[in-house]
Amino acid sequence: MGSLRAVLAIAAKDIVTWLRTPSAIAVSLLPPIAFLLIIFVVAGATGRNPVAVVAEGNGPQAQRLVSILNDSDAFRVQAATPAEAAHLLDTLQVAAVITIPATFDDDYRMHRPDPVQIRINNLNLDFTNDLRRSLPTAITHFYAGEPDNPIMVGVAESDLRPHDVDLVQFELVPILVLLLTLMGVVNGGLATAREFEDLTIKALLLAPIGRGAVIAGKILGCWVTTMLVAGLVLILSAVSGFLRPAGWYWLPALAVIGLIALAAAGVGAALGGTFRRFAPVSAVGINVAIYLFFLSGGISVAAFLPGWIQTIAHFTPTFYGVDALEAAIFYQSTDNLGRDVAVLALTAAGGLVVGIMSLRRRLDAF
Amino acid sequence: MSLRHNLRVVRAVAAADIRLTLREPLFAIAGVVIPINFLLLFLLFAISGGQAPIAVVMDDRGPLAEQFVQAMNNSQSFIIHTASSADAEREIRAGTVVAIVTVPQDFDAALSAGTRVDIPVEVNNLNVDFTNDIRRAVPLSITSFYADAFPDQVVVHALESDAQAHDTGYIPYLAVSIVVAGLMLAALLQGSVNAARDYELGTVKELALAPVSRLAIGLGKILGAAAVTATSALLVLGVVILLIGVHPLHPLEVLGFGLLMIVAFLALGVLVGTLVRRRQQAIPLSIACVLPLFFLSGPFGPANWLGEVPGAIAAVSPLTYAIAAFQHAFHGYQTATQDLAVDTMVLAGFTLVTVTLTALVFGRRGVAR
Repeated sequence: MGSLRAVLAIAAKDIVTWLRTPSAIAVSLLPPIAFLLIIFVVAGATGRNPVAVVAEGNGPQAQRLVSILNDSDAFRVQAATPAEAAHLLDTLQVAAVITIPATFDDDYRMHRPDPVQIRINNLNLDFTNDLRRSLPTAITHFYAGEPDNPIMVGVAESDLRPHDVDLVQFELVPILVLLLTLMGVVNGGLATAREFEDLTIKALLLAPIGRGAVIAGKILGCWVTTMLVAGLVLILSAVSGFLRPAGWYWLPALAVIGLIALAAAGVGAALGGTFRRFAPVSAVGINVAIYLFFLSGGISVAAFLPGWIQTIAHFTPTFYGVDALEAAIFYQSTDNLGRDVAVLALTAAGGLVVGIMSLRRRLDAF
Repeated sequence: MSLRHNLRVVRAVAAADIRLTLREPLFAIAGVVIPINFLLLFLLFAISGGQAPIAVVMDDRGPLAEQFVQAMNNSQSFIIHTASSADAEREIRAGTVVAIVTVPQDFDAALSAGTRVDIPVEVNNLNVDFTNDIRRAVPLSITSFYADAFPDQVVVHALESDAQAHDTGYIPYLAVSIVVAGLMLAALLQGSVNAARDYELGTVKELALAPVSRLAIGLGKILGAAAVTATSALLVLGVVILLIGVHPLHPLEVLGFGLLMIVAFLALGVLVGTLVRRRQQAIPLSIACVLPLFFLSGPFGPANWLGEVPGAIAAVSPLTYAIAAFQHAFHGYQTATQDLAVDTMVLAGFTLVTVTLTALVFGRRGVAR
């Protein structure tokens, strides 16, 4: 009973200390907020390149192509004369100039080669390849709108998931996992390092409580803080509709969040016990959390990464956390849930063992 | 005081700061390596590229079917491998491919007979962004295939010319932007930690009471931090030049803009350290500042190409001008609407402002206490 009270008191002290330490709050919240901001800004702009369109031909087919370019979700179109377009391209106000020649309609009618010119400012292959794909895509739409479309090949699409997920929503899950790992690893580490740096560890060791109670209190405090912040984020996300697991899928989502937080708290305690100083704990902790973020999908999709990185990603516990949360929140699916929870449970157990061993050794040596 | 005496003070203060940094080897290493970490992390993002890994199930191996797969290969949208139907299904469920395109058995026969044929495409619609990429890319491949196979039927095609003599890969482009962020991070971190350490250890009092010029002290502190930052900068540049193979077209510009950036962000770091006075606060603040600023300053290409809002945000970020200047130094072209002279003036002005502001704040808040 006494030990339990001691554990709870140490945990409560750590939670209150975190709430009163702006720098600890900043370490935990700033990187996820930064990524969130970036996702919002970039998602609104993804894939739409500014182009100038010079329509030298004004026949019905040329006008139809211009209209398709205007409506395309790949371009932000600005009509221009050849001289204006050249100036816009030179001053980087547009990424490309598309010129529909004066003979466009005639060549089209006569079935002669009918090129649409595109001059690209090929600064880097990301933008350049987007543009290289986008004009042929517009030409595809051009033919699709023809009553006597010569293209006899169509697409019969079927989707693996019941519905598409918006990019911002999709990116929120890895960011939530980043928040959990940062909260656990960095805060857990700082809470432990603080005891050594401020020498309050002496008071704890001189108190008539077991060392196990000290260790349990530190890990519990970190886990509860992490869960409180995660809970707040989940409530806000559910109310705003961004992340809302349906029905009983709340349960696996909460279980996964709890396991990630536990593993991170254990690793944090280990870091704090190993380094015992703020500076290395925050530097190493932030790096570890951000690496885990990128390897678990981060701002990309794991399948798009090269094979060797995918292999590394499969050894990254947060990869399974992201997978399980996505399945629960977006797709109402239990595919791979058993595997994901098993990996996370093992990781949590491993994190706890590492944390307990590191702290016990450090306390014994103190 | 003589110039010689002042120079000795500068050297002594710089040497003391370097020694203090080296007394915490773990942090010294972390401080130097963090920018490299930054580089590697963001290259992870870059190498994912925009090409979707897909499996193609070839139920027809006729010449038109092969030509269609070739058109998909040429569309710069897919990384293709052929698979059996069962293998492809297993791969899409395991998440190793994001779509399965099946070329149906009667593909060649139907096209030769002029009848319509539908290509089954199964998409792992994880998120709408890359799902739409696939939804666009398959019809694009079909049109390209038609333009090659039946040129008299599909006569409209794109004819490309490029403004630059050659394409620049995404990794060489992004690596240069990341060098800028790495320099900023290294300088901010070193400047803020050194300044905060003086308050934590109380050495700022001794410095303030010493019968030497404060300018000499300030210069010494900047030199000390600059030495560690320069080590970090050299490492990052070494990785970019030697490992990634991006060679600067104008090495003197790299040197000049690099030094300007180091001074500006060291001063900003000292300002942060003077204001927060604790390394515990200085480190996360430095790291957290860099991430959003980097992303919002057009590291992937001209920020105004992303839209008016990103363009307007980037225009007020000093990192935008530094990235544009470094891209010019490495690749020889402009990547922002302003020219190199404007980049230089903005960076020089920013350096002047940060140094002046830091000197003012340090003089009032720092030494006064």
